[in-house]
Amino acid sequence: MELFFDIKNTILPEVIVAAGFVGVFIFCILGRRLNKRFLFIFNIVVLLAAFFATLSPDFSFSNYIFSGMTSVCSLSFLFKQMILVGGIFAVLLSERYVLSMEKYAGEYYALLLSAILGAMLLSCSDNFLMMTVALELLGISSYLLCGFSSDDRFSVVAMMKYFVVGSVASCIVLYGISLLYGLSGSFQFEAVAKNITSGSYIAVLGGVFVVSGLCFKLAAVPFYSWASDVYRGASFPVAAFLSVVPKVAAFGLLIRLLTVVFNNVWIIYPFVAIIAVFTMFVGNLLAFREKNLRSLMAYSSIAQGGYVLCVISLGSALSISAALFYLIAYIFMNFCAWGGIGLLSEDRHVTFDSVRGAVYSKPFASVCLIISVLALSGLPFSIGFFSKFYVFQSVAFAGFVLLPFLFIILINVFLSFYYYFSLVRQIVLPGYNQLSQKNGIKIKIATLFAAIFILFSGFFSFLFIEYSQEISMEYMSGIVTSENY
Amino acid sequence: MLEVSLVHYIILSALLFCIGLCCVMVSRNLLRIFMGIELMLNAVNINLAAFAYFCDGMVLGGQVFILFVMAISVCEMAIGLVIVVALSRHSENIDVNSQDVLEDKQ
Amino acid sequence: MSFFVDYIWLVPLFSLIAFLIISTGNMFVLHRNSRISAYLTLSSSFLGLVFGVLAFIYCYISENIWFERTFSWISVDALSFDFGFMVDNLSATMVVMVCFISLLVQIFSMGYMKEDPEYSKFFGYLALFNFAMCFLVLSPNLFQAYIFWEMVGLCSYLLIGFWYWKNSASKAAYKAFIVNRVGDFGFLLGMVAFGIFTFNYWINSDLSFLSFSDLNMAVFYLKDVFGGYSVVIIGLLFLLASCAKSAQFPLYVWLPDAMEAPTPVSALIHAATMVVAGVFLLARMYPLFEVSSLLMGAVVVIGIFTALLCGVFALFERDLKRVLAYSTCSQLGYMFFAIGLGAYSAGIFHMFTHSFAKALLFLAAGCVVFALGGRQDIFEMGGLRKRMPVVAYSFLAGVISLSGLFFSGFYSKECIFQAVFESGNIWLSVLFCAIGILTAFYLFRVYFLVFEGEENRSVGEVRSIPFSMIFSVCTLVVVSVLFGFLLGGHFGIKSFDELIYYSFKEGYRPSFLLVILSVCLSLSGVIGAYLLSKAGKRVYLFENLRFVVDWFYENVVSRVFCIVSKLFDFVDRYIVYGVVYICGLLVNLFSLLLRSLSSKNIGVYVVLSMGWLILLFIVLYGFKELFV
Repeated sequence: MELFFDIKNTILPEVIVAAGFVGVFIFCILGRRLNKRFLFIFNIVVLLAAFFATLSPDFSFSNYIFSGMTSVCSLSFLFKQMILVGGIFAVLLSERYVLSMEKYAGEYYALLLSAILGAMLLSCSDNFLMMTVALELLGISSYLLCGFSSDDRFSVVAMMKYFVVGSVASCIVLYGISLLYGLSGSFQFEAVAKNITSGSYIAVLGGVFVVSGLCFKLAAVPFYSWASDVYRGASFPVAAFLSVVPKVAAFGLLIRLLTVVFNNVWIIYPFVAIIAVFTMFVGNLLAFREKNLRSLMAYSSIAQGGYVLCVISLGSALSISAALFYLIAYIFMNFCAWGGIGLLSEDRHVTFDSVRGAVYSKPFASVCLIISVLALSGLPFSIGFFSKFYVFQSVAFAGFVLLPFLFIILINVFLSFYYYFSLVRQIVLPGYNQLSQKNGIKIKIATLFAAIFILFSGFFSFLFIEYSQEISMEYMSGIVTSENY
Repeated sequence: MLEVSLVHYIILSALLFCIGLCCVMVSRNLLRIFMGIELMLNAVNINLAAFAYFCDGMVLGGQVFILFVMAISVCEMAIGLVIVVALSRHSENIDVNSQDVLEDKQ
Repeated sequence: MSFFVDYIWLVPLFSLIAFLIISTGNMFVLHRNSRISAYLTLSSSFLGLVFGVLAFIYCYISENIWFERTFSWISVDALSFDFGFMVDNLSATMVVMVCFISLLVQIFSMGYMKEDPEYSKFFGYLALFNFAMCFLVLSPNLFQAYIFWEMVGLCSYLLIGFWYWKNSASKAAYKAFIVNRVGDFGFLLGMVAFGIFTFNYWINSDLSFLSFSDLNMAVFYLKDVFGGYSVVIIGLLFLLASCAKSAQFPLYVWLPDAMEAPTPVSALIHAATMVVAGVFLLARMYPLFEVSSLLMGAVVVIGIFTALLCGVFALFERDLKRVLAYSTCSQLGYMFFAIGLGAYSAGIFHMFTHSFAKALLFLAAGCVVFALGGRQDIFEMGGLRKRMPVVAYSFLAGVISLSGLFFSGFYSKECIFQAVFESGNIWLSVLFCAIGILTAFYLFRVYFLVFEGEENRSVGEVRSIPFSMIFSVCTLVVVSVLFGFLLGGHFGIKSFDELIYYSFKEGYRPSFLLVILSVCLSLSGVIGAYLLSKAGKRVYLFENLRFVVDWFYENVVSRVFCIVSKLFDFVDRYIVYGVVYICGLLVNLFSLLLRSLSSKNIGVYVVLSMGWLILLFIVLYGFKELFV
């Protein structure tokens, strides 16, 4: 019984998703003609069940499971919820892609589920070993998802680039982990934290390597160049998934790393800030002249990640709550944008010229895309505006010294206006648009839901911000008083 | 007689890591890139083993980690070979620099 | 009954709904000249009128109500900019007046604009105007008043330029809007200055910012802390605003040209409601003006000078509507004059009687213009009384009222007369008498030239006038006749100055001598006009007198502004835009630079990543050295 309670309060969502993963494989093996609708329903059920499992955990029991590999707190549960929501969106958006597959629909769903599993484990890991395993699980599933349509040369080449850069990055992470292990003799986060200080160069080096390698998943500056190719090469539901879920998971991990492991290594915080500044500039500047829609989304998500990095690097409870709120907003805005793009055209070469005047021939998709893009840029009274506002607020409250930092963020937001608005302008310009794309009802439902959420949750943003503030306060106070070892 | 201490292992691992990195950077052949990645992972393994021996004598957590890293590298190589097979289905060579597909036809 | 006061915000809301339905319906469903828009607007005005009348009755029977309800729109620390409505006697009576005249003008327009292809747009604009004017009158603070002041100016622009295909009309619309802008500038500056100077007062007393109900105390605070000069400066700024809106010298030049608008518009906006917004502002800001005698003197001077000047212009004008326009300016001068003398309720009373009478005159003139197929030159008319007797007698009634002979104009003029004589200034009294003669003179000149005498050969065919137009005109006759009687203090009904007063009830104490004097003056004007018309000769004298002021504006004022604006244009175009352009260039440069780093070689990706990593290291090291 005790085992059951422990699982329920700690990793029940992961267990459900893992069970779903195994189930899908069994169906792949046993079922000769896979019923795609059944697979879809099964996946949705699994993900919804996992979501409901995250809803009311009871933290009064001992949170010690798997020898402390995963941490159990409301922050990690929030990340699990976000990842599962992302997963549900991805499943909904892949309706047409799955329909177009002849044989391997089951493997596709299995890969999605394993990626989601890896993401959830990554965001709540408390030990470098778990982190590595989850990182690789997520990574390998992502590589395979990217190149899933192997008949298509584009996908395979994109997968290759993704793989090579990703492998180098994960090697760097492992090297950093080994250095940190050398200093502290343990892989557990809290134990490592006790033994490293800012004085030793090896600790700083290890920390820098770990953080930089993690930036691969975040599409931040050292390892951002895969984003454009992968988002073009992968099919659109996979690209949508990859732009959200690994990023959110990696941010969860990064928050935990910064606050727990590098608590005493204060130099890592400005390092993350420097990464953030470079990421924002690179993302926004590269998007400036970009005409391909998918690459534009790639660079914009690089820049959005940059904003979250800015605010994480401050390390206070207020800033972490702003980061959480931004990530919640980011999930919906991004899925709405990708849904809009997918409804407009699934072709990977969609450029500004081909979407010109799309609002007259495909109003629903265009309006959703416009709403999400404007929200990404910070349209007032949508959730994008409030999330950016809280980011600014937490940077501003961090002190007068950080005023240049605030200016840099503001400049980047202005830069982003250009390309977001030029996209909107292209869509609205009068012109004969020849996009013809058959629509899927589930894609439409997902996009519509995301668009409505973006528009109306602006009014309820205070609820979200309170929730995230509560979580981050609890988390930060838990760190201060924790004495596991 | 020079005693082999921790520093030597660290230097060895660092050198191997850099060699692997250079191998990845300058290769045109995909398989050679994979060899470089493998080299980097093994450099990490050396590092871990050394630290496990010198710093963590009781628990030897590093050596457990090595097993995991090896398993991970095997998975990655499997994926890498999948890529090689898939690429070779589309074009004759696996020269990474000749894959010029991801540009817009404008 | 107090329900109607609580919900008086519904009065403008009905019109707003009508406007929104018409404007969106125009885009999708309603055909452009559908009658639905007319009925919609009419019903919204009617409902508004019903509400307004009941609210007015409630105000009338209760003692001295001052009902205010606001909600805080923007609130920063202790300051809150509120939005809401305020009902006191002045605003209740004004709401009734606005809604009533609006309703009648809308009924009139049903006939007048019957053949216009943009019929429903017209009614939409009328509904919008009703909304804006009602909310202006119900504003509880300066801030909201400013918003609706601007909106009323916008409606004026839209309606003057309604026949936009006429070059003269669009130019007149520009002129009206730009001159009003000068006034708005004064309003904004005055409001901001007042707000800033009395800032401490508002913060410490936790009141709604710049509200009218607390204006008294704020003004005293201003005077105590900053002295008399600040009051004068701020007052002059508000006076500028009132002058622009109420077409006083030197900002009256837009009103004659605004006669390019359709006649119902002239009746509604440029006679009865919008131009009295200036007087309304003066009435609301009366606490400010009262404190400084310099300001009051300025108001008096401007009022009387305008009254005289525009009266002279009206005397020599040959376009029917322009005469009425100059007459409006002149009568507004009366009102300014009265308020400046301290006769607050006299001035407001005159505003009411003038509104009804002038609206009546304009609508009757509209009937004439309609019947004659668009001709407006009074020298081409004559003897129309036999052709359209109803219109003629209505016009006569309006003229009699306005020149102060009988009906309601008589009462209001008496009040002002009395105030003039009580002030004791001999020059003012003489000037006032002169203006009295002049008013009667030009008004009756128009009447005799248009309706009496022999019929001019060029009159030709006279179209029949639709019933809706006649109905509006007649209703106005009835009202303008009765209004004065009812509120003159007889029959046991409260007199006007008991209803609306500022600090003390002025009381109309009829002095028999004054009454005789004023009636004699007006009669002499009438006789003069009769003689002039009988003389048979057309008097072309000084026909172009009014263009003197226009010439001044065009050549002197605008030349100066052109030079200044050229300077600003240079700065804007080359310096400001130049900076923006350079920023854009820089960004493009960096963007191109970064994009050149990416290529198809995958090795480059890894090299690039390592390069970034090394750069990050260097920056981190530099950071550490610099800041630690």
